[in-house]
This record gives sequence, C-alpha cells and structure tokens, in this order.
Amino acid sequence: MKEWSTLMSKNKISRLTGLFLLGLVLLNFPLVNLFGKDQFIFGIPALYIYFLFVWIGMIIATARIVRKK
Amino acid sequence: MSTSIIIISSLVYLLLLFLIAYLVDAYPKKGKKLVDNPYTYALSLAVYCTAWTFYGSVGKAASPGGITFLCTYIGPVLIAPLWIFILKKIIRISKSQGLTSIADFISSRYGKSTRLGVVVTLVSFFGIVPYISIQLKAVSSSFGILTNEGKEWNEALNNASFYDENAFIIAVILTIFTIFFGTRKLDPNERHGGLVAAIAFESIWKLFAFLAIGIFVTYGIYNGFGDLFSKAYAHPEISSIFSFKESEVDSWTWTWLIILSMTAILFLPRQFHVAVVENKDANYVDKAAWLFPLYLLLINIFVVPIACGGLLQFPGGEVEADNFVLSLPLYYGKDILALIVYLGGLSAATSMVVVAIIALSIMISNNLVIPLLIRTGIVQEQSSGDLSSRLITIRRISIIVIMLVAYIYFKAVGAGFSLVSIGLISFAAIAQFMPVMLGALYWKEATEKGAMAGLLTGAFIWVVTLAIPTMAEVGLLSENIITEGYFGFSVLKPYALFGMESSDHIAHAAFWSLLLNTGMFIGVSLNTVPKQIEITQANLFVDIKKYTKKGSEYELVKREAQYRDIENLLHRFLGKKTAQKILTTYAKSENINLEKLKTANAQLVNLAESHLAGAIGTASAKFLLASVVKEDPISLEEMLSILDETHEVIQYSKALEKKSEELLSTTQQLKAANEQLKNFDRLKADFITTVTHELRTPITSIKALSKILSDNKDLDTDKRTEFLNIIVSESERIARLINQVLDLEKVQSGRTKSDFKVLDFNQLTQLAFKSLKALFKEKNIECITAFPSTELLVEGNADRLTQVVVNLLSNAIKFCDPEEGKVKISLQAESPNLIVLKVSDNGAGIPLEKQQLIFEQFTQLNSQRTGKPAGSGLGLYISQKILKQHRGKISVQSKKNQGATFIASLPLYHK
Repeated sequence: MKEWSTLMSKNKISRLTGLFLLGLVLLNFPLVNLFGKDQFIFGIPALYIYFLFVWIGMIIATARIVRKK
Repeated sequence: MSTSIIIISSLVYLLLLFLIAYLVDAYPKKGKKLVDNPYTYALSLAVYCTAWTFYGSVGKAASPGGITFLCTYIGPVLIAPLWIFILKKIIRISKSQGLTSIADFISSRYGKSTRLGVVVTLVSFFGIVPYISIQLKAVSSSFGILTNEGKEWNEALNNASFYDENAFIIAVILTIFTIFFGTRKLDPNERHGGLVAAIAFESIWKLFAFLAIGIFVTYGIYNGFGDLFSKAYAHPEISSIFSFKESEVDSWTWTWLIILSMTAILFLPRQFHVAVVENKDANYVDKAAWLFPLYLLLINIFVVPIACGGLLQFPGGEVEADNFVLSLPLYYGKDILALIVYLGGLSAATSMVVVAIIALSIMISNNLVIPLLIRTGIVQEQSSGDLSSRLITIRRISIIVIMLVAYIYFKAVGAGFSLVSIGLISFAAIAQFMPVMLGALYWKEATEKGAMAGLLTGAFIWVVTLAIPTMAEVGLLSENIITEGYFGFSVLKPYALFGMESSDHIAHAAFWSLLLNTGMFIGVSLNTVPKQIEITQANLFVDIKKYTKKGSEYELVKREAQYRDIENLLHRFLGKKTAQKILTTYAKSENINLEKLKTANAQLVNLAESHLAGAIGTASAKFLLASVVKEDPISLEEMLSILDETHEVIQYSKALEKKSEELLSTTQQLKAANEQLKNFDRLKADFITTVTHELRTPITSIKALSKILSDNKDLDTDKRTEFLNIIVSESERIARLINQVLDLEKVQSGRTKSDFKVLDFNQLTQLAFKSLKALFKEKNIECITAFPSTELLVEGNADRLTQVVVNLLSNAIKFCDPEEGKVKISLQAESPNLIVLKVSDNGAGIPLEKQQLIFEQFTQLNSQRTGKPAGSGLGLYISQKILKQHRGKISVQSKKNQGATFIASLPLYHK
C-alpha cells in the first residue's frame, strides 16, 4: 500500500465536496421540476437532455479535479 | 428458440467465466496485469448493476412515476466524488486491520465486538436474500420467455410449475458456480483475482448487451431518439412516465431514494467486497470515481427509449414491463439479439449473486459460525490438525444455505413483486449501516452500545415498515396489519407510522428507520463510556493517517505471547503452507531466526491477528489470541514512560527557573560592568582635561616670553638669558610630560612579562644613580648611598625599572630641603625573597591625608623651591603601575617637616 503522501490536499477535498453539493442541488427538486413534458430540444425531452448534461458534467468535473496535482 | 440452444449457450457463458477466472489465477503474472489496474477496478464496481438494472430499470421507467428508476444511479454518481476520501479511508483502514467484510469493519471499529458482528451479519442476510431472490426470478423468467417460441411465451409466464422448476435449477447451478469461485482456496485477505476478472468481463458483457438492445430499439425499430420520442409522446399516458409534473413523484420520495442509493453503493456487502476487500491499490479510486459514473451513464442512456418502445409495442399491458428488453427483439424475430440480451441479463444476475453470496458467506462464517464454535469450545477441543479445510466447508455450507433461503423467499414472496421494489427494500436494510459507518470513520465518541442501539432500532423499524407488510401483501400475514395497523392501533400502520402519510413506502421506511437509528446511535453513544479497546480502535480508524506509519507503537495494550502458540494458531486456521509463508516473510523482514524465537512480540501478535482476522473475522481472531496472549492493559513500560514524561516536565521547569536566575545575575553583572565603564569614561575625560591643562601652562609661558623677546629687541642680555632659560626649562617640562604620558600608555597597554629578563637590580639602581649624580651636585644635595656588594637578581624589564628608580630619585631632588638638601638611598635584600629600595629626602614631607592620593594620576605637590607644582602628577602613578607588573609594591612613610621615605619592594629572583 502506498503511503499517505499520495493523499489529496485539503483544497481537493473541498472541491470534491463542493461538486457533490452542487450535484445534489442540480439533480433535485425544485430544479428538476422546471421541465414540463412538452418541452423538447431537437425532439428529445428537455428533462432527458438536462439529466444527460448534468451527469456528463459531474464525470468531467470529477476527472479534472482528480487529475489536478 | 430451442431450449437446448439456450441451455448450451448459458453453460458456455458460465464456462467462459470459469475459464477467465482460472486463467487469471493460474498465470498470476499476466493475470495481475489484467486485474491490477483502475479500469478493471471500476468495471468490477459495476457489479452494482444487476438484473434489477438490466430488466428492472426499463420495467420501472415504463410505469407511472417511472422516472424514479434514475435515483438508483443518481445517488452513486453524486457520491462518487466523495469516494476519493471516504472510500479510500475505508480501504486503508481495512487493509491495515485485515478486515474482509462490512460486518468485520463495524465489529472491529466498535471494540472488535462479536455481538455487533452478528447483528450486522443478520441485517445483511435478511436485507440481501430478497435481492438475491429477484436475480433468480429475473433469470428464470428470461429463460422462460426465451424458450417458448412464438406467441406462446406469453402463456408460459402463467405456467407456474415450469417457472419454479427453472428457478430451482438455476439456483443450483449458481450455487455450484459460487462455491467454485469463492471457496477454491482460503485466502487470508479474501482476494480473488480470478473472480474480479470474471466480474469485470461480466460488466463489459452486460453493458454491451444493453447498448445493443438500446440501439436496436432506437435505431432499428425507430429512426433515432427524435422519432421515438415524438411517437411515444403522442400518447399522453406514455408522455407522463419521464416527467415530474403530472406524476406522483415528489421531492420527498426522490430525495430519499437518492439517499438510499448513495448508502447502497458504499455499504452493500457486495459493493464493499469489490470496492474494499478486492481492491489492490487505494489510488485506483481516483479513476473509478469518474469511470464508474460513466459506466452508469452508458447503461442508462437507452432505458427510457426502450421503455417508450415497449409501451408503444405492447400498450395493453399483456407483457410485464420488466421483460421489455427481451420481448422486443423476440417480437421482431431477432433471435440472436435476444440471446445476447438474455446472456447480458444472465451476466448481470450471476455477477451480483456470486459476489453477494461470497460476501455474505464470509460474514456468516466469520461473524456468526466461527465465534459460535470458538465460544462453545468446539474448535479448541480438536486441538490438533489443520482447520483451514473446515473453514472452507463452513463457507460452502453457508453459501448453500443463503441460496436455499433466497430460493424459498423467491417462491414465497418474490414472485409477487417487481424487481425494483424488492431491490429497494434491500437498499433500505443496508442503509441502516450508514450512521454506524460514518461514526466509525469520523466520530471517535461513538461507542459499541450506541452502535448496537442504533442498528437494532433501525433494523426493527425496517422490519415493521417494510418486511412484515411485504409478507402481508402477498398473503403470508393478515392484510389487516396494513389497513388497521399493528395490534389494531391506527398510529402503528406500517405504511403510515405515527400517522405520517407518505407518498412512497420506501421513503417512509427510510425516513423513520434512519431517523431513529441515528438518534439512538448518537444518544446512546453520548451516554455510555467506551471500553479501552473501543477507544484504541476508534483512534485507529478515525486517525488512520497517523497510524499507517507508526503501527503498533501507538497501541495502548502491549501484548506478548509464546511463539509456539502463535505458530500453532496460524497453522490451524490458515493451513501449514500459508502460515509458514507469513512467518518466514516476517522473519526475513525483521531479521529474526524463527527457530530460536521464544516469545512473540506485539508486532508479531498484531500480524498474526490481522491474518487470522482475514480468515475468521476480527472478533474471533481477538478471542482466539486472548487465550494465548498476555495483555497488559497499561504496561509497566508505558507507565514508566508516562512517569518519565512527567519527570521530564518537572525537570524542564526546574531548568527554566535556574535559567531565569542566571539571567538575573547576568543582568546585575552587566549593570556593574556598565557602571564601571561609565566610571572609566569619566576618568578618561578627567585625564584628558588634566593633561591638556598641564600642557597649556608651559606653552602659555613660552608663548608670552617669546613674544616679549621678539617685541623688545633691545632687552638687556641678563633678562634675555633669564627668559631663554625659562623657555628651555618649560620646553623640557612639556617634553617630560609628553614622555610620561607615552610611558603611561605603554604601561597601561600592559605588554607584560613577554619582554621580562633576569637582571641585577643592584647594578641597575647604581647606574640610574650615576646618571643623576650631576644633578645632585648641581643642586648641592648631599647623597648618602648604601648599596650591597652582591647581585640582587629580579625578573623584569630594565628600562621600566630604571624609570622607577629615576622617578624616585628625581622626586627626592625636587622635594628635598632647598637649602641643605639631603637624600638617602639604600638597597638591600630584606628577606630571602624580597628586595627593598628606600629613598628618603629631608623636605617638607607629605601630609597624611595626601599620602594615598600621591599614587593617583595627576596628584601634584608644590615644590618647595618654586612654590609651584613640581611634577606632571604622573611619575608615582607610573612607578606604582610598573612595580605592580613586576609583582612589587610601593609605599610612603612621612611626617610633617621630617621628609618622606619612599619604599619600593620587588620579589627576588631564584634560579
């Protein structure tokens, strides 16, 4: 097992926690309730696009924070 | 499709999994490359996606309020960033303590408590068995659908006996499969490289299969997302499935389902197993934290399109929505695609079943059966022999029992519920671990009793709000419980506890169980006193960072045991080979000869305990070791070190006191030195004033006389001569003064001893006298001398001593009677060590009050001849200084009008 020196900084922990809280807000009421069933983007329901967008955002953000030295 | 093809392909698929696992284990080097990387790790985490995901997501999505299917995946996606420190911490703790299941983790943290291990195991067992049973249901129903050709498949669903028979066979096959995978050999760390490789492969396969059916529905049956959605949304009842508005989903349900899935991804026994126990490097979590959400995204992207497609195709509800993924390709005659999808579902189910059962069987054998055997003494009685094969048997039996119970549950309850609803009941059970787990990681004050109270309360609420009503719903218990409440009390309605109506049973149960669980956990923890071992473990867990490096040094309990006992224990529970390997590795790293080792130190005891913990659980390992280990709760050594520390503190404060005293005295010394320096400064100023004054007097007279001479050219010769004589004598006085100041400087700079030579003081004095003889004659002074005939040797500087003699003689000349001057000079050795020179005059003498002062600088006496000060005031001062350098003395004896006698003494030199 590697030593704890490889552990992330406090700054990284706050970023990750911040991302978690941001995701919690974005993927919860009342924001998710803004999209009605008759709103479409390119023929795809807006809510569907919204979830996709936030989800991918979470993935990219996590990857970026992790890679940061 | 013919049954044989399906059976053969299923078996081929399972054999392929075996092959992968076998090859990875058989070729450890190549296998390690395949398994030991963050990508395989992330794929193995995807064991999270079970038949529930594969069939159930679409089923849920196709029902009213179906959007909640997403909660199961949103939870993990949200919490994934936090893995990077929460999951890593769990992994590090588990590796350092040899923990192999979540039951072990919780039991270990709260004082290696056996009771707690039992409770966690039971909660996991009753929580997970239904979950396993729905995998059976999914596989057997997919098998059923596939084997019934054409339109008959629909009728087959109602053919109950066929259905059961199927499920039983599948259960048996999966049991054998699991036993082969999980218990081929006993690994103290519960690492199964082959299993991980197989799980990763299954994750790839199920994703591939699901993407295949998704693409087929979206692009094969319809013309892409736009086409599919526009057709589906033309139907009002379909358009409302993926929407919050106009559906029964509210923020309450949504939030609670997300919380449940967040806890599930971390604490489900199978997730704990792949994420923590099978983890090879904690840093793999970094990549997994975004790779796993990506996997979830891919496997979810086609759920809604498939659900819409299924609803468009089978609007009447004649096909169970859980089976859309299979029914759609079959309906369109795509048999091969259906087979791929079926195998995808099979892979999702088998991976879950295998890992969940292995994880559960570790818990059951290590936290339930072995503690029981050890406590009843059965293990100890069979004192000889290798017990590791017995451990494997226990493991195998527990696997069979788990599967059997799962099958019974499936027959009794499972068939009546959808995949998702049963899965969520399991999630709610596992969520009960959240408070004690967070407490274990971050709250040192949490106690065993608190954890026990919280867990039991949470589990109890789960039973009354979910487990019992579920049984009532399928008719095993009276329906009255649900409608009237327990014992007929309406406040005790299982779906509306204490009168709280909720839109969702799961959210309702999660709320009450977690609220009371957390409340009890915190409340009891704050009001109970932890045992010493709980405090130790709490520190080890919460501050794992500190302890990773220091290890046993920090332990409060110092342990020792007979080496033979330790060796025996390891042999019996791990098998001879493994035990010997562990011991030799230890001996090598510590440079110890095992043959000679008699007592095992704390380090070896800890090592043995962590390996035993891996094999039989923390609590059992602790119990077993307790029988051979001598424990000193607070050892003498430690007591001494504590005393030492106190002693050190006292010493330190004493030292400080001393220092401050020293400082005080130094300050005083400095003050004194400063005072002295000031004094010297004043003296120096005085000296300069006097010297300049002394210089000014003769210069003034020289200047005045010279001016008179130059102004009055016709001055008579007598006067002129007189004036010139005065000028000459005044000039001499200046010269003398300057010489004396220079002498003073020389004497004060104290170049002593370095130029000392042995010399004859008798000869020196006589020479000095001779040089002044002319002066005596000139002034008509009678001289009486008494010089000895022998040498009087002294050590010193000839010039300086001459100066002293000359000074004394010239003083005598100056101060003797002006009319009948008489000077006596005598030199003699007064004792064997002392030479004395006496110079007497017959002058006015020195008043008593001035006798001390004359040796100071610039003390002048008035000459009897001139009535003016006769010397520079430096002669005697310089003489005294010179004599002091030669370890000699000078003094004066005098009475008014009877002259004065100066006595100089010097030590005699002996060879």
